[in-house]
Amino acid sequence: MLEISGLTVAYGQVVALDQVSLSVPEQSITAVLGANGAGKTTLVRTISGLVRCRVGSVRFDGTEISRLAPEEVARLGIAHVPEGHGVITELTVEENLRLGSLARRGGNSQLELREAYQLFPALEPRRALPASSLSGGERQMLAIARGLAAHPRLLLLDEPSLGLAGQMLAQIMAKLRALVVERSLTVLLIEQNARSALSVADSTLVLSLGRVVAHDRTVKLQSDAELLGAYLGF
Amino acid sequence: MHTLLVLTVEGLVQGSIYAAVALALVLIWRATKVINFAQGAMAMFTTYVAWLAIQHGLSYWAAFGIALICGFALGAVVERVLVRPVETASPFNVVILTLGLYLFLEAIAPMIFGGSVRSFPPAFAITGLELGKVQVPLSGFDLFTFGCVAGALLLLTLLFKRTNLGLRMRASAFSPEVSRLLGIRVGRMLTTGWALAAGLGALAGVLIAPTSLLQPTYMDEAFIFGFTGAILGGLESPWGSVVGGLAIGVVLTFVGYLSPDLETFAGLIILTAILMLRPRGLFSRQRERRV
Repeated sequence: MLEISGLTVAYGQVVALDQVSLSVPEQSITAVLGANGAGKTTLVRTISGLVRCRVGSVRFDGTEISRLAPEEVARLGIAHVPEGHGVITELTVEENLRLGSLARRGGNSQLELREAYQLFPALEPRRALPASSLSGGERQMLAIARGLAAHPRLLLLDEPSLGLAGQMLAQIMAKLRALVVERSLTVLLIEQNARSALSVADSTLVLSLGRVVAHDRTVKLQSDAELLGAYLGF
Repeated sequence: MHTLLVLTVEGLVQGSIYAAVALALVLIWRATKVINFAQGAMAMFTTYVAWLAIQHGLSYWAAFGIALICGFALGAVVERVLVRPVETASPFNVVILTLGLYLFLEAIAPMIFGGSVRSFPPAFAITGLELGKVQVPLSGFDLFTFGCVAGALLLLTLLFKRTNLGLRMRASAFSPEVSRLLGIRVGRMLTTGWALAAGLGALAGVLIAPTSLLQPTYMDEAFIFGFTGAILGGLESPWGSVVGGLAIGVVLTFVGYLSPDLETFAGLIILTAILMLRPRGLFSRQRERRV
């Protein structure tokens, strides 16, 4: 469903991604791992259109999206939950969620709101409060709920583990797993916290200094202790 | 005591116009982080267009509507054509641009409409009303002015708080990048914001014209006082700007009563004082921002 080939992205002289190619299969969770500065966030920002690539192509269901504006990419059904959650703190919890549901079509947001509160019950009592009153973990939940409210086909999650306690993170990962089946969702999960990602991903990609150094079924990678040690630190 | 009441009421009516200008400035500030220094001149221009319509035999109300529509259109065009290409570079560029637009509009207005002072009709009589035997110091036009501004504020509040469009506009102003990721066409939201602000400015222009008389510079004072009101209220707060505008109106009316010549001067003193002592305004929770 997502085909990336020969992607090169540079910030001025600094090459962030060097000839990256990968394909993300439908209805699966693909983890993208790597150290700080490996290019994970750049990869996701290029997919969602916030960053322009120098060369290469990004195809979503066969359509070339690398030249599209971020709002157009979002409207095609790709939801990007940015690093640091990106919750709009001046708006209320419910307003943030409504914005999410407006993304695909101006349709009935009542249904999507109910779904969001079912998924993350902790948000409901806070629905009318400004998002600034939420804790870091709650904001992360809100950001994910907001992304899901658009019923995207592809969810780009950038480091959801930041600010989430282990227990909460595991619960969210379990919910995502369920949604992959229920809603035919595809997830691209960017993580520095390798363990949580490896436990839930079908395939794993490892980036190092802008290059793909490993890309395989997670189970296979997990048994490669050398690789794990070298790039992921354990 | 009676004089006190009269002055306060007069001040509130006058202040409602400054509040409209202040709100227009705050709307643009929140959306694009820029002070639209051409706001007054744009309102002047649209009022001239309305005047032209009246000269050609159209009714006051048709001209009123034309002024508002021109205001929306002018705001949208300015954002799309002038501000957008320059926006990304630096806010300073946009400030220079709006100053340039101000000079441009004040220069071409007399060329298009003639330089002599024109009179502009009020919607209703400007003589005081009579309730039974009591002469009330409010004219029909005063009530109309206050009512228009209050009505506009109500509509804007409903738009921003209750509609999806308003939600998108607020999101675009607070977090443009995240808004893009949510599929919001941020550019269009900014254009709409400018259009609304300019429409509000056009309203102020038409309401002030009957008493100030129409000439290319007639909106300058209203702009400065509206600007002062916006600063007083804190640029981030729409309600603050309204309160600020009303406050300026009342204060200046009192000053004007004591000494008519000092009115404008007093306004400038207040502005200077605010900028020196508390530039973030009374209602703002943000830190100062240097422009």
